[in-house]
Amino acid sequence: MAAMENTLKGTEVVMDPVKAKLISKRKLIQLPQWAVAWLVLIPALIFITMFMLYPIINTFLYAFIQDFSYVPGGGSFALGQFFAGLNNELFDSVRFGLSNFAEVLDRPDFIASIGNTSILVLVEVPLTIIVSLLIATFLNSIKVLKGFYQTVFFLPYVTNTIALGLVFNLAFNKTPGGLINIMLMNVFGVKDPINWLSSTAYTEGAGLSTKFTQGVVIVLYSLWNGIAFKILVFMSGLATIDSQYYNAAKIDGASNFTIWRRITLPLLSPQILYITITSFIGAFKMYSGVMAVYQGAESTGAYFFGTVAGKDGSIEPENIGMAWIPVVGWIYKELESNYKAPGVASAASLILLGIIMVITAVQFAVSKKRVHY
Amino acid sequence: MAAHEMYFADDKARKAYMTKKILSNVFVYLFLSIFALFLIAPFILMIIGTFVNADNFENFKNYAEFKELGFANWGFSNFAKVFNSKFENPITGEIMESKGNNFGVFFLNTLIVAVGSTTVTVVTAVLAAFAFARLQFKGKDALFALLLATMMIPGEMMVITNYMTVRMIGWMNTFAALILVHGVSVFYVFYLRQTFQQIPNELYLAAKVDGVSDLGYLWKVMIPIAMPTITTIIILSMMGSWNSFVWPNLVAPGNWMDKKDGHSMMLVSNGLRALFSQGKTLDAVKLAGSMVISIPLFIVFIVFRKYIMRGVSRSGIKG
Amino acid sequence: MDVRIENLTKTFVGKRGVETTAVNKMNFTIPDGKLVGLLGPSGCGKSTTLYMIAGLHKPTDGHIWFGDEDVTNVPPENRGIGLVFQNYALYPHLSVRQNIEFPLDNVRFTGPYGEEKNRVYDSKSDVKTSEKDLAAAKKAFEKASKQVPVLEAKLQAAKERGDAVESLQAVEEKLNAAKATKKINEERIPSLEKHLEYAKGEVVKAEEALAKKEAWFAEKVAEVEKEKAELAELVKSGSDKVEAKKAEVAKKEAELERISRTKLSKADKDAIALEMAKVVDIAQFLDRKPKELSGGQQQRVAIARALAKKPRVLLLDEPLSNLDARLRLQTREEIKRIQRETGITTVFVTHDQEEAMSISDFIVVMKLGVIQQIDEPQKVYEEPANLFVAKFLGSPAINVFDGELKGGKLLLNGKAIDTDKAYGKEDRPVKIAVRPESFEYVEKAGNIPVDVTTVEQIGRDITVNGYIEGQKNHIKAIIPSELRSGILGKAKVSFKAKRLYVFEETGERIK
Repeated sequence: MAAMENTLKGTEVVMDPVKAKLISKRKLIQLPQWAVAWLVLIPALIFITMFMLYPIINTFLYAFIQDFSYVPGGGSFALGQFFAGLNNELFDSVRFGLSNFAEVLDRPDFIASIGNTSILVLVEVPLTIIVSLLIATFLNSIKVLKGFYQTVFFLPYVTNTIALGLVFNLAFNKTPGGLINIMLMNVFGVKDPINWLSSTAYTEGAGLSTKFTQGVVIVLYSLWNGIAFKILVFMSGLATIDSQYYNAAKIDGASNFTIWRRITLPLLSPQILYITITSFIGAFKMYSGVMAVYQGAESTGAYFFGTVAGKDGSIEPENIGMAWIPVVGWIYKELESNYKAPGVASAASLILLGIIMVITAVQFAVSKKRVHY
Repeated sequence: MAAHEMYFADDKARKAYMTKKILSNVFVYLFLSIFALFLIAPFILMIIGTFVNADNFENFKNYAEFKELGFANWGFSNFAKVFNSKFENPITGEIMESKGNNFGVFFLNTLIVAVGSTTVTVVTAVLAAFAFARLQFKGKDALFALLLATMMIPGEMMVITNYMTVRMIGWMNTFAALILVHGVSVFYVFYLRQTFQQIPNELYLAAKVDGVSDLGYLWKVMIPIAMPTITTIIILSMMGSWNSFVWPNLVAPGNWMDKKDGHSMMLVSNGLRALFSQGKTLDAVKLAGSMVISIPLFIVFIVFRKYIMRGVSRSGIKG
Repeated sequence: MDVRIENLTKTFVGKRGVETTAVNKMNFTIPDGKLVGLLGPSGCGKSTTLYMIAGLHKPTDGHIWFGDEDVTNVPPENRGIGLVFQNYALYPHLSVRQNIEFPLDNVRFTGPYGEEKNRVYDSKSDVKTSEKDLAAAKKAFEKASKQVPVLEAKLQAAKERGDAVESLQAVEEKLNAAKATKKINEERIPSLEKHLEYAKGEVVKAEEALAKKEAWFAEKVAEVEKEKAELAELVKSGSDKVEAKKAEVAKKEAELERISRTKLSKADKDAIALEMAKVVDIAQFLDRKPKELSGGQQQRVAIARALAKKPRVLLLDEPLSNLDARLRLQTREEIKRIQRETGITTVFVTHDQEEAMSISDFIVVMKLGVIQQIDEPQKVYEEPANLFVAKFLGSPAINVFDGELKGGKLLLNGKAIDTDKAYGKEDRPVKIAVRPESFEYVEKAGNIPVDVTTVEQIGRDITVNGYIEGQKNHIKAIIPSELRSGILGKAKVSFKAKRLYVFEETGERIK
């Protein structure tokens, strides 16, 4: 080391005669690695336990408590309520059972909401997937302006659900006829304005909105919102398909359509499966989109369910409506009006979970035959 | 291959090919343009609504009248109307003068929630991802599997209990409920863990030889190297807070009905919906309101486009 | 600083009780200021040894000494080593200067008696670790001792019952694992106990030294105070000696500060970084990021970083394997030069024998955790200790044939080979090894007839490839080009061996 020490003489770092040598610092406290790990995980674990794990377990428990009634002071934990109920003489018996499920399935508005959601899903998801697939394929094939279109198709990602819904609402709903109507009448020569969303007859000739027209608006909104992510996934999938396959097929004389059907689609099938499953799951949980389009009835703090107005044009207060309340919307409404007895809402959410799992399982089973990895 | 490089039997064949090619190109671009227009249309509407005279906009019936609409002050008068909107009691028609029920407040609330929630998210995600990626401890695999499982449960199931919890511990209409309940995202933990794992092990050994502790390594080496991912998480998280609606709708509906102290805790989405869903607001003002909410998102998109697109393709979550 | 390895052992116990000994009771000393290469094929334990010297792996048994300090239980950052990784491991987000300065952030000067304090701390933690190790070894030994008879009985019972082979095997494996554990720990316990005694003694010594140093420092401080008081007096009395006294006081105070400072200032760090960069010749890249540099340059930055904290020992893990062939030669020389200039004891690991031979002062040849030979490069080449070393060194590889010793004579295929060495009385089969360049071409029949397959003319030499009848290994001989007229075109050629080695069937060399 003598050589190195000499060269340092010209600098500040002079080794003084009292043998100060460079040496690493000693640590005062040496925590073993596992202690550091758990210490560092504590913040995340607290949040996850309190707001994720506990709720999941709790929901399951609540769904299965029979004939639940709230016991003051029992707290929010299901078991807490359970045991508090046991001790309280007001209740004959507090036990586990399926009464919540029975009650949920007994409610016509719940059944209606499941029906609503199913129809919307069955229409919206295939439509959106097909459109996205076509757009992705076309996008992949062009060079000029590709970047521009990609940016445009990514726009839904940077929009606010409610703001967007408001715009849709206005386009379809503005008095006296909404911009869509104006366009339809002036550009396409449609004679009478169509009432898309509102359940009050606000203009002559328009009649009242039907469930169908409302549905159209919702589907259009979902389409608008849904294609961005799908296009992104499909495009990244298309990019991984080696162009050699296309070249080989062209040499074999295949037409573009044949190539698309027999090469592109099969090679894209993992992405298609992923998109299909996630789209169905996501669509079944739809809520904020529908709320965004309807933009109303919030102000009086109550939702009005109902069918459309009667054919004779009579309007009953309970017929003003949002005809397409989805399952999640039903659950939240139930929760808000009755937060102290979440048994019913919990049971409903479990039913929702069950439906989703069944659909996913079916899709997996089908996929085994058709998806190539 | 360009057409002039390909081989054709004769000129007729070449012309046929060229026509086919041109037609197909036209079709493709037409298709794309129709849908592109479909996507741009709402923004056009927002821009129109912002810049036209609000009263005229309300009632025009056809194209002729549309052309008559005047510009209004580059939109500033409509923006002003947005920020001046007040709640009205729909039954009595009385204007609620309670403070804090205007758009400026909603903006502020959303900003606070976004910053707070993002801070919590990033701190917990960095620490947790560090533990899973770099440290060894008993129960690591089991814990990881558990977190994986929670990601698969739909959030709607957790909302019920969280709502009850919030009501019962008195967190209704508080920032605590808005920030803390959704403070942790398991997905970001996974995403960041993956990034951390890509840092070569030798770097860790080199740092150990250089005398750095595990936490020191996290702070001095891992975080700087993973900064792009962390930035993506920050941006996505802030955007998510900006756009959130469902949860604030449940726990912070604002108490404008209550005349006593009406500092509304609503966020921009809820505020927009509540303020403007009543029939009395002018349509142009509603559109301007949507515009106001959308502008910050646009700015973020333009500046951070790469981060957003990269993060979204990993997750499929809108934040 | 010399590095002494004493009985170093590293064992990994796998799943089925299979014991893998990566390093087996190694003993050697690296003299101060020398460049030593650990050479061997993959899996020979050279990297494991290097990492144990570094402190990243904990040895199962044995000790490592840096000079007269036992560093076996000292964590890597406190040993004063510099480590250069195979793929450099530079921090990508820091500039070259920041990379080199990184280890300096954690460096503390020892302060007035910091070194003694550290010594006390180190020796105390050594005692703690030794006690823990001893307890663990004792526990493992007892547990295994209890298990062995139980498992033996189980095995016996299973055999008598006539159980299936697989279950018998399973029990046997467990039994072997227990026996192995018992044996290992049994051997370890006495040496651990000895070390504990030693460690305790060290604590006492260290504490004494600390007390002495503290007293010394207090004296120095008092001295300065006295001077300052004298200065005050002089100022009051207005003497003309004030200036001189002031200077003296200032000097003494500066010295005191230098003694008691603990951290490096930014200027200090920059100076060190610049100096290191000059030593490895990358001073012009100080502000660049690693990804802007070539592989060779990155490696030099890694070396600079390792040297920055003035380590006692420099360790390099396969430093040249990531470089292309041209760069390898160049960098080899650089490493040798740097080592000479700085004079640091250096150990490097490689599997390339040419590399090791070209720059090392000593080569340690290893195979399966055991040292085969330690010697200067040329000696290892010319006087291999066994067949493995002979085969590993030299390119093209040495030719090996089966022969025998009979009646004191060396026979190849039954024919005697002239040698002037005596190989002993016993008749036995042996291996005869001849390096390609040791063949001599003779016009008249030499004693090694070769059936030629191909002849390659490469400028200066001719390479003759062929077979000796009766031998399964082929032969490669390198002959000077001038003799080609006798060789080209011939199907059979005769050679004589200028120099050959004889090895036992087991591999040791017969001298």
